[in-house]
Order: sequence, then structure tokens, then C-alpha cells
Amino acid sequence: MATPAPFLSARGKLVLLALPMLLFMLLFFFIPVGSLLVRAVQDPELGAIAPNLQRELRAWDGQGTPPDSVVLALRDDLAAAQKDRRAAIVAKRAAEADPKLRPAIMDAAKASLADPQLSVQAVLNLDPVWRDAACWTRLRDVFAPFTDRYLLSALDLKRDRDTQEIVKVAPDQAIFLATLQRTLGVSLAVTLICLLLAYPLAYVVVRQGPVMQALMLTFVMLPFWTSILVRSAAWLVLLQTHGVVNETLMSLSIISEPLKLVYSRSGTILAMVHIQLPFTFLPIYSVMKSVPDSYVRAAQSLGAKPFYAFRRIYLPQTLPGVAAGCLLTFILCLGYYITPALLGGPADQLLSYYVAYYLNQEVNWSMASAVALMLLVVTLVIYTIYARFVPVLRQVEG
Amino acid sequence: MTEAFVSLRGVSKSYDGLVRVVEQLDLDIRQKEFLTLLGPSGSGKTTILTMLAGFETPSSGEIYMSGKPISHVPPHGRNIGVVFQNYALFPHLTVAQNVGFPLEVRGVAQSEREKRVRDMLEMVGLSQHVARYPAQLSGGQQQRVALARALVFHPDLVLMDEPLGALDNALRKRMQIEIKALQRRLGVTVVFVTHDQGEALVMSDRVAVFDKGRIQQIAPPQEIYARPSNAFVAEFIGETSWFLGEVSAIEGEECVVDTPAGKIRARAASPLQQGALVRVAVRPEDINLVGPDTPATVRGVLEDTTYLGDHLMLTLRTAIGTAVSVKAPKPGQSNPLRVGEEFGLSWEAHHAVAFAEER
Ligand SMILES: Nc1ncnc2c1ncn2[C@@H]1O[C@H](COP(=O)(O)OP(=O)(O)OP(=O)(O)O)[C@@H](O)[C@H]1O
Ligand SMILES: [Mg+2]
Repeated sequence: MATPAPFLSARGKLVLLALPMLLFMLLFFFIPVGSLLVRAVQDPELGAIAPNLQRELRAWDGQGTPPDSVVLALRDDLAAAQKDRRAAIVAKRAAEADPKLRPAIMDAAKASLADPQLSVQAVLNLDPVWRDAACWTRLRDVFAPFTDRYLLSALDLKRDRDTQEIVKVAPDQAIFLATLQRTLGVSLAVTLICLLLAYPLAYVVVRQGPVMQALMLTFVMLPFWTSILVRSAAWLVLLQTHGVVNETLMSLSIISEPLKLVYSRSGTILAMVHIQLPFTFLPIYSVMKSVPDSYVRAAQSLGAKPFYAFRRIYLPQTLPGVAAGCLLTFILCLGYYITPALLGGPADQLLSYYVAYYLNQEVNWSMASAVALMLLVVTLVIYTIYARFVPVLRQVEG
Repeated sequence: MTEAFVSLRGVSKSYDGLVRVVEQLDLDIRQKEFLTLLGPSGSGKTTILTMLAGFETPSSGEIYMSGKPISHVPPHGRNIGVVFQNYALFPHLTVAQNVGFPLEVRGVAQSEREKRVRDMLEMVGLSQHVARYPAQLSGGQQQRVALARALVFHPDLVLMDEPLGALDNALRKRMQIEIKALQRRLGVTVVFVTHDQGEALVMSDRVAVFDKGRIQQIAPPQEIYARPSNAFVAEFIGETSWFLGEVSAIEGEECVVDTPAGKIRARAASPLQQGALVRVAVRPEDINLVGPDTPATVRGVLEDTTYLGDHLMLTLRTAIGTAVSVKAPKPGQSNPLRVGEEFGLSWEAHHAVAFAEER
């Protein structure tokens, strides 16, 4: 007699169990990240101000002079935009492609608002620009719904106005690559300092009795349980020009002038190390806990001096923890915002600063997305490198 | 007697300053011998090994190697090979690298190292697996790697702490023979720890039976088995049936013991006084089963039979309730043993040993 087929296969049950998580990931991770990616190449600004003009321009093939429908859409949309005082945005954006377009658009907007029934010929007669087919083609490009300008400018590049070739922006406008370099540099410094602090600390902690170990862990974890904002602010109080540290050092006559500890690179790194230490420490600690003493003992009984036994036997076995801890810290550092914002000077801001800047100050979502995308790509690259090398380290565990 | 190679003199060890895990130990380890430390769990065997290896220092007393004190020589300066119970093979090194490690630290040249590793692995029968990692080996293969690693640098002394504990029975039997053969062939001194008495008897030149941090008896296996020097050793090694009684007569080495089950003649393990309270030990294989009407030392009713393949282990109970184990050959079809039947039990006097008992 055949047993009845189970309602769900074993695999089906597993999928069902993972479903809530998959849904969560889809809703709160993949969809937002996906829309972020789209934002970085999307140009919704002009489409929102002049939707008809955009539609007509895109419907036109860009050859020769545009049909009347394009001109009429220009008249109507610019009139509507001028009413909301938004025609200037269109003019500014168009000027980036051709400076002659700015006055032409402003004039057309004013004239259209004054006389909504302006004829096609009347519009074309407003400015010589409108009788130049090349200018219409440029305007059409300005209204393209997708653009690489944000991605390019996140890499300090732009398209040349005339040749459309990708060129470097002027040195005084190039900020992102330098910021990326700084972000990587600060993250690397924090990671290395954390490693230098966490590894010996973990080594000491795993060698304590259970009570002492619990106590020491609590102290290591303490900063973990306080918000980053509070801790960064606390560092500000400690480190500022007339803060606790400087006052103490000066009253002890160790220094005569206050040290510049805040609004500087060193203050930023100091506070970041403090915040990141548990993240570096915990993976190293947990791996060390799983490496029994007997390996080092065996190495010593086989003739290895203590340091040799450590370097050749102990250290390699703890490397997976080192790799995990460093990766975690490095990747988290890449995204730091509050701490550099509070404790760093203008020259110490990391990439996230620009994400926030474009979101909050400029309200330019596309630019914010492009910078965030750059951050995401760097993170993925670093993770890929990690994933390539760590299986080699993990292999030993079989 | 061979000159002592390693000597422990008055060695005591306490971890907490209160309980002595090893107590005033005097022990001589001879050159090229296979010495087994045998004892129940917690009797201090591993502690002695860790002191020999140098991972722990004695709380008092001294360890000498070739006449020189070594208590304060660090482990890496002792030239002692150790096989750990969990093998402690380095998981991130291959078999060849593991075995080559002691040569690597000694600065042996690459080519020489490879040759010695190859020879050693061949000796333990592992030549095919040189490039594997320990996690890719079976328990028995890991055991062999650990063995090869502890032997490859020609140590003066090899310590093994229950190295066969994790293996299945058949493999354990085979490894016992292989380790013993290897030890003979290489002429290396081995101190071996186990709590398996069978293993101790099979492998050792001498067995040291431990209890509570003290040596109870140290002697070759035959002697340990046949002439246990105290009741603990008799109880711990092999199976034993016990009769409690009082010495009623002494005749040279032998004595007569009055027990509730009857008069028993026995060899005295130590000089005894008339009237002394003693326990008499008899091994199952020394007892003969006779018919109920034949004269016998004691009588008992068959209570249980256990089939063990090549023989039977019988449990009989005497009139006063003492359980006696008897090893019997497999019975023929004609006269099966029946539970509830009465039998006589007899043995030769020199097979029974009387131990003085505290009153
Ligand atoms: N590092 C240590 N710290 C404190 N006490 C210890 C330590 N190692 C062993 N002991 C104690 O010393 C006693 C003897 O331990 P040891 O490991 O020498 O016994 P053993 O004979 O090897 O036992 P087993 O057969 O179970 O391995 C035990 O009571 C144990 O609890
Ligand atoms: Mg032990």
C-alpha cells in the first residue's frame, strides 16, 4: 500500500519556514536598494515640472525642427511652471547643456504665462534659439528620463557639453574620489587600530576563569549598549578645546596649548575605534574560544618555542575570526556618518556625509543615490574579496 | 635491572593547594620500556603526564631525566613526544606538514625532512594521505598521524594519554598491537596512560596501577594479574570474587580462612596474623565447577549465565549470599547448565589470595 504523499515536501516546508524572512528581505532590502539604484540613473526633476513637454520631446525623433505639438507643450508647461516659479529650474538645467537656453526659456515662460494662446510661430519668434534645430535637440537631451550624469559626477566625471565625451570635472569641483579615498583610509586606520587592541585583549580574556571572563566581557560590551549618538557627543565633551582631556593635560602642565582633538581626523578615528572595538573583538574572541589549548601545548612539546607555536599554530587558527572582525568593522566604518559629523572637521567627512547632504540640503535624491551606490559598490567589492579568501581559511575546519 | 632513565622523586602535585592530586610519587622509568599508568578516572594519570611533558610543574619533588633535574626545563626543551587523547593535530596543516612540524622547528633541511616524514608515514601505514587535512581523515588515521608526529623527531620519551580512547573496539585492538610493535622497533621509551586494564596488560612491559594519586603496584602484567599486591589492584584488574573471613591457621605462605561459606585456603598477599580479618580473592577462570556431590571448597546455586562467544560467564550465589563469577567452557548439548541447580566450586589454594582487611 502506498503511503499518502505528504501535504508538503521537505523542501517545500523549508521554503515555507523561510518565507517570512524572504518577504522581509524583499520589502525592506531588495526593493529599497533596487529603487536606490534606479534613482541614481533617473532624472525625475524636469519630468515633474514639465510632463507634457517631456512626453512630446521624447516622442520626437530629434531630427530637424520639432513638430508643433512639441512647441505647444513647451508653451503650456512653461506657463504652468512659471506660475509655480519653477520655470527657473528648467532654465538652470537647460543652461548646463547650452547657456543660450536659459534666457530663451525664461522669456518663453513669461510670454506664455502672459498669453496662454500664443501661436507656434509666435513662440518660435521669441528667441533665435527656438529657430535653431540643434538647440531643440539639446533640450530634448536635457529632458531625457534616464541619465548617467549623477553616476558620473559621483566619480568626479561629466559629459563634455559639446562633444558629449566623458571628461574629468574641474579640480575645484572634484570632491567624491578624494572623499572615497578618505573614507577607505579612515576605515582602514580604524580597522587596524581595533585589531591591534582587540586581538591581545581577546587573547587575555579567553585565558581567564569563567567569572573573570564574564566580567571582562561586560566591560568590553558596555559601549555596545549605548547609542552611537550619545557616545559621539560624550567624546565631544571630553575632547573639545576646553574639554576634560585638554583641561586635565594643561592643569598637569603636560601641554601648554590645548590639543586639537575635535574637528580633526584623530578625534574622529578615536571615537570610531571606541565604537567599533566590540565588533572587532567579538568574532576574534569566539574563534579563540574554540581553539583548544592542546594545539599550542602539542606544538611546544614537539619543540616549538612559545612565540613560534603562537605564530605557526595559534595565529593561523584564529585568522577566520580576525578576518570576520575586520570585515565587519571596515564595512561598518565605510558607512559612518554621525561620528565624523560631530567630531570631524570639514575635511574629515566621509561619503555618507554627502548622501545626507544631498538628501537634506540639496534635496537631490538622484545625487544622494549615486553616492550611496558608490558606497554600496565599494562594500560589495570588499565583501567579494573577503569571500574569496575566507573559504581558504575556513577549509581547515573541514 | 636496567638503569632508571626518568625518575620521579617525591613528586606531589596540587592544583588548588588543598587536594593533592599526586602524592609523594617515586617512579622510575627504564630505558626503552613500555610503562603503562593504569587507574580509575581522577587518579592523577594525566597530571603525571603533564608534569613529565612540562606543561605543569610539580608542587614538590623533582623529575630527573638521565640524571638531570628537568622540572624547570620548558616543554620545548625536553625532547619528549606527546600523543594527546584528542590527537591535537594542527587543523590548518596537512598530514605531511603535521608530521614534519617537529623537524621544521628543529631546522631540519627540507629534503631530509621530507624523507623522514615519508619514512615515518610509511611506518604507520599512511603514505597515501600526505596531502590531506586532519579533518579529512578517519579517527584511526588521525591517531596514526599523531603517532607519527610524536615519533618522527626521535624523542627520548613518548607520552600517550589514552590515545586509543576514541576508537572502536576492533580498531583499538589493532592499534594496540601496532603501537607496541612500533615501540619495539624504534626502541623508544613510552609512558602510556589508560583506564582500560585489558589494554594495559596487552601492551606493557610494566604496569603502574594508580589510585588517589599513589602507586598501588608496579610490576609486569603477568605479575599484576596473578599476584596483585593489594585488594584494590585485585579488584581493578580482571574480574574477582570475594570472600570475607578470619584467618584460623597459618602454614608458611598459605593460610586457612574461615568464611561463612566454608574454610578456604589462600596465599597471603602480606604477612598475616592468626585471627586477622581478610578478604580472599579468586579469579573466575581459576574456579572449577563440579557436581553437587563432589567435595568442593564452597557451594553455590547457579543464578545467571552470560554467553560470551567462546565461553560462558556464570554467576553463582552461595548460601550466605556471596556472588561468585565462574568462567566455564561452552557446555555440550548433552548436559546444559540449568539456572537454580546447585554446584560445587573448587580451586587450587595458590589461586586464592588473602588480603588483610581493616577491622
Ligand atoms: N588543571 C586542573 N586544575 C584543577 N584541577 C585539576 C586540573 N587537572 C586535573 N585536575 C584534578 O586533578 C585530579 C586528577 O586529574 P587527572 O586528569 O590527572 O586524572 P586522570 O587520572 O587523568 O583521570 P581520567 O582517567 O579521567 O583522565 C582530578 O580530580 C581533577 O579534577
Ligand atoms: Mg586523563
